[in-house]
This record gives sequence, structure tokens and C-alpha cells, in this order.
Amino acid sequence: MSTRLIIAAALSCLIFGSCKSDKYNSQPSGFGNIIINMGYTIDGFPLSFDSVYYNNEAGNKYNVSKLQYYISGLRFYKNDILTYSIDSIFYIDARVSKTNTISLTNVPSFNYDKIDFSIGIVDEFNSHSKLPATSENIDMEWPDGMGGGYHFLKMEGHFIDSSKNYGYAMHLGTNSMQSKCSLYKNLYVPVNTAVSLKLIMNVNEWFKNPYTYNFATDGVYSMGNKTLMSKLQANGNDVFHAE
Amino acid sequence: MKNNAIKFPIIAVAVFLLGSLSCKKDENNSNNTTPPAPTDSVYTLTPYSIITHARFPEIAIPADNQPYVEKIQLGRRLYYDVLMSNDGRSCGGCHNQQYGFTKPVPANTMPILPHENMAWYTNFMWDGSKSGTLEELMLFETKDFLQTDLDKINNDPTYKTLFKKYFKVDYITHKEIAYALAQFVRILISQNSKYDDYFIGAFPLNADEEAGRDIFFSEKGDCFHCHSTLMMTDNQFHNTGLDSDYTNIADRGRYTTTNNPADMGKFRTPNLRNVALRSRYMHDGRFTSLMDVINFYDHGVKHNGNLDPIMTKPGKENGLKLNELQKQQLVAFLNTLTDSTFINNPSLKSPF
Repeated sequence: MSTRLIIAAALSCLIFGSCKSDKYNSQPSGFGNIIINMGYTIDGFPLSFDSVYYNNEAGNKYNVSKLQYYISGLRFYKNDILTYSIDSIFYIDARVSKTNTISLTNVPSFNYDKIDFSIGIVDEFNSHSKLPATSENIDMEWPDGMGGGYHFLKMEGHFIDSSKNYGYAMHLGTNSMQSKCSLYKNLYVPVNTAVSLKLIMNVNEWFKNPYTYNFATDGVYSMGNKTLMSKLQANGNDVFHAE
Repeated sequence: MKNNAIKFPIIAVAVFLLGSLSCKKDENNSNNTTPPAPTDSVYTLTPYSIITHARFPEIAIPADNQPYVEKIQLGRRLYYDVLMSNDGRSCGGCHNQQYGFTKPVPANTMPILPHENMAWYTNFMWDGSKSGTLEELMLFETKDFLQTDLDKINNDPTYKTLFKKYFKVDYITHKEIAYALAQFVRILISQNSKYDDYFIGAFPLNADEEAGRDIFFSEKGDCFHCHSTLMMTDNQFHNTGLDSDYTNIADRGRYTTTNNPADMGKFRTPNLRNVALRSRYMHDGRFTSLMDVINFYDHGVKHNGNLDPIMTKPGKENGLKLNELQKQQLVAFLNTLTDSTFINNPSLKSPF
């Protein structure tokens, strides 16, 4: 009993918050902070939930009512050498502003030039009850019978086809389905100073490159469908850019 | 603050004993019709730890209303006291413990949402017309819904004394009443059902219950997207296709609060804990049995422009298409959510 409690506490510390495991491989001159703000566009235009319908690559006219996801495995590079990594996992609900700001403190002061991260949860923590029991994590759970772990992405809305309105639910989960994002961005973190980093998701990128995703022909529901999830996973690799 | 506890029989027994002891002491206070002797000395309140299932989220409790045994008992007394209204109503009058803190209502009447596990909610009422903390909700209940006459409360010597001791006020306002009610409502926690025992590996489900659980937590039934793993509600709003015509205002749901057309026909996901104890289902009580509800999801969903995307997956556009055995199995699983400990807990009963 007590062993399980200790394991649970240890896992919580590994994943979140103040006892996050930060690593860096060369000695910095000091430490600063990075404030990451997440933003959302549709091909350059700010995303507006519910009311506005957009066109994707396949010509589907769609809106977005829900956009929730995790990012994990944040890695910062300079000269292509991994310099700083963070093991924390961040839950983001695009509609809830407070979840769209990530504050990284005590970041080694370097001039970084590349940032990597995953949309989703690293395999190590993507299993039943591995994340702390928050309302958000509980609502993102992926049933054990379907592979277990957590939803990496929930994007939902409606699309119009032949004047009729249909729902779509793009859900991504299970190990190996993380989208891997690599962003080349010069980011200097001065000592004792906070710098801003804006990560912008172009929602339309989920539906193109390399695969054109068509609701009408591919399907409107991805959960449990490995073919559809694989398309989304591959398309997700370049949904973000840094500003 | 939450004390997470991985629930094993020993801990459960220990928690029960601890709870019983403290509550027994407080029951004596609550049942004592003679007000405690006035004292000028500072009364030391007894902190209360809300013990919850290890996989329940942490409860956010306002800093100015941390739980204390004495305040919970005061809230319990108010909860059941008809003095709270001018027409014989009380919270407990509509929220009966034996039904999981709701009660049967006549046909085609809006079912009373149960007072259970509200400690985690931030949205209240079927349409989310109230949101915020339990303290804010209880302020509405006492001030607007029950229209508590403050003179009655202030002229009651027991309340006068208890509020003076516990809240340090000479004149009781709706705020102190709301805070005391919130203290009690926050501990109305259902977490000892057969499913809870199963979840921690302490007790097996039978074959039908297990099959029903599989339906519930798989694409076959797809109940889990709204009725999430352990809490049994996501506390969010969904249009599940009950209607396709919204001329009846009562069917508009969340829209009546937000005026957002995308919210038309959306209602808050009800908590399924103790769902088998209810006699009416959905926001207007249109269904009278769990089988009615399952039959609705099986073949009665009405398509509309706001139908939740989860409801339109390929192959199930016209319903779940369950056979009779599968429906029975789903009902069997839902029955495992009945928490007899909760509905019989003496420390939650009326002190009168």
C-alpha cells in the first residue's frame, strides 16, 4: 500500500511541476525564463471557434468547437546539439486561456536555435493513471480496452457537405502516435530575464501534408482507426511554427 | 487540501472509523437543541480532511472556507432545516439521501440533479446557468431559491450561537449560510460503489457487469467520452440528439445562458453515480428507466446541426445498434455505480 503511494508520488514529481526533471549538457553562465504562448490560426487568420467555417485542403467546409491536446518532450538545441530538455507534460485547451501559457523557469542561458517537442505524451507516461488525477487528465483518458493511456489530441467540430451538417471528431492517441515537431528558431535566453516564445498552430495543417484528409472520404471519426490516426499523426508534425 | 488515498480495505476501514468518530461527536452537537453555553473565549475549530479516491482530482476549496468539522455540521443542520425557507422547503427536502441526494419527480418534470460529487463541479444546473464555486451556488440557493428569511435565522438561538462561534459573526447573512451549506455539500462524495471496488482491484464484476463495462468504455457504447472514467461526468455540455426542434425553450439548454447558437440543445453531462436510483432521466424527465435511456441512444437519436460529433461516428449514425443482451449488460454495469455506503452514511442524514 505505502509502496504504491510512494510510486504514485514519485511519478507525479517526475511528470509535473516544481520537481520536473530538467537536463542540460553544458554549463550555462546563468539561468533565465521562457514564457511560451500558444496561438491558433487557419492559414494565417486567427481561429474563431464555433461560428466560423473554414476550408481545408480537401475543400471541406468545417468549424472547430473543441481543441485539446498535450505537448511533451520539450528539447532545446544550439548548433544542432541537444542543450536543454524538459520532461514535463503540458495539457492545453485552446479555449481556456490559462492553459495556453507555459512558463519555463531556470532555463540555462544560451542562444538556442532549434526546439523539438511532441504533440501527445511520451510512451513512458502514456498508460493507465500515469498522470496526476486532474479533471483535465481524467477527461483525456483513453480506455484501456482501446490501448490505454490518454488522448493526445481531441479536435472536434462540424463540417458541411452537400448543405448537410455533420460532426467530426479527430482523436489521436496510443503509443507511437505522437506528432513530432521540430522548429528552427533563434531564441536567446538572457540571465535572469524572461523571453517570449510564440508557438502557432495552423489548424489546417492537420488536414494536409503529407496526406490530404477529406472528411467525406476518409471519415469523420479517427479514434480506434489506425489508418486515420496515422494520417493525422504525420500531418501533425508541421502544424506548429514558432514566432 | 486533498488527501489522496489509494483505497484498500484497511484504509477504507480506517477512514470509516475516523469519519464515524468525528461525525458522531459532531452529531451530538447538531442534535443538541440546547445552544452551547455562550463563551467569550476563542473557539478552536477542528480541521476536516476530505478523503477521496486516489484517482479523483484534487478539490479546489476557497481559502476562506476551508473545511472544519463544526462548520460541516452546521451546514448539515441548515441543509435539512425548513427554517431555510418560508414555505416548508429545505435542501434535503428535494435532495433525499436514499436516492443519492435527488428524489423522484412527476412525469415530464425537470429531474432534480443529485447533490453528489459537486466538490469538483464548476458548472451547475442542467443548462449551466450557474457556475463558479459551491459557495457561489449555495449563495444562490439560500438567497434566491429558498429566499431564506435572515430574521428567522438570526432569531434562532441555536444558529445565533453556532454562527457566532464558528463564523465569528453577530449578524448572520446569506453569505455565512452559503458558506456553511457549501461545507456540507462539499463532503457529499460518492466513491464506494461496486465499480469503485472493481476499479482498484478489490472486487470483481460479474460477467454481465463486465460486459456492460466493456460496452460503456469502448466504441460500441462510447459512453466514456462524456461520462469519464471514474468521475462519471465531464461536467461539460453536449447535444446528444434528444431533439431537433427547439421551439420549446426548455429544450434549448446551454443556449439560454450563452445565446451562442452552437450551444443550442446542449445540456450538462449528468453524473451517473447512483443513476439506477433515479426514476426520471434527461433534462425534462422524458425517460423513466435506464433501458429507456439506452434505447434512445440505440435508435432514438435525432440529427440536428449541433449534434455532438461523438454521436455521429461511421456505422453508428443511426444509433448504437445494441442487441437486447448488450442493453441488459449495460444496465447491469450502470447498477454497479450505486453506492450503498453513500446513501446510508449516517453522518450525512438529517440531524432532526
